[in-house]
Amino acid sequence: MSYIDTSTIVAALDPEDPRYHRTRKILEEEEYKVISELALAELANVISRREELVANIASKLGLTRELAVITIILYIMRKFKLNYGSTREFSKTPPLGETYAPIAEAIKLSPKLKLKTLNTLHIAYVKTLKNKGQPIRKIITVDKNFKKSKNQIENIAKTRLHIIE
Amino acid sequence: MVSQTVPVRLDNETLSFIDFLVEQGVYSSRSEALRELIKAGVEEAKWIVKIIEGANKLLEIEKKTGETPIKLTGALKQLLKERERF
Repeated sequence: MSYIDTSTIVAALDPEDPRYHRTRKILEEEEYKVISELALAELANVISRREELVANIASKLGLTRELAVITIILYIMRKFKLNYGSTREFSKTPPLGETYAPIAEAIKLSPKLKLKTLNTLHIAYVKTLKNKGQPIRKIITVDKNFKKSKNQIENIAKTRLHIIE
Repeated sequence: MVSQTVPVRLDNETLSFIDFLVEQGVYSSRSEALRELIKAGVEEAKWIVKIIEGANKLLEIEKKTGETPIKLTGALKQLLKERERF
């Protein structure tokens, strides 16, 4: 099973990006793919700011703009056969208190990985999903910011990191 | 209309609310209250059907035209740039 970072999905839908064809091919060939709620939020954000696209789809399908955004996300998930991995769990981070499990993981991972917040959160989601029994073997991304911590990510998450360049 | 009996478990909080509505005479029984509230909930949830049908329609368009109707041109640069900031 592969964890698909949002950047991979966006690249596969962005004809201006040089990795457009490669990411599409990889998404089509990979068999079991999981995404996190962070990917859903990032996708919603990216799509919502393409106002012309959203207005066009809303008018074509007779939907409000809000529903059109969710419709586009569902279409993308079905197109690339992406499964959403739920992480409904809380963890204790003494003495800070109880936090949502991926946030607790991100707090623990931050000093080790020293990545940007969203990148750390994606790795935290991988760890949380793995703790919940998802057999993730690979992280697929086009985000080069993961590169500098590749070894730590692979050691900590026990998962191969595949950066599409 | 043909109807069927469906066994359902409810938490105490929900059941207390149902009982309150019955006591106040809004509904004549627990059964009627649940039936009416479920109907209202189903009506309310019809937007979910619209989304599923919409996504299927987009997949059909793609099949017919051979290309995706969703192009996020320039979006990757924007996403990566924003990730850089935090």
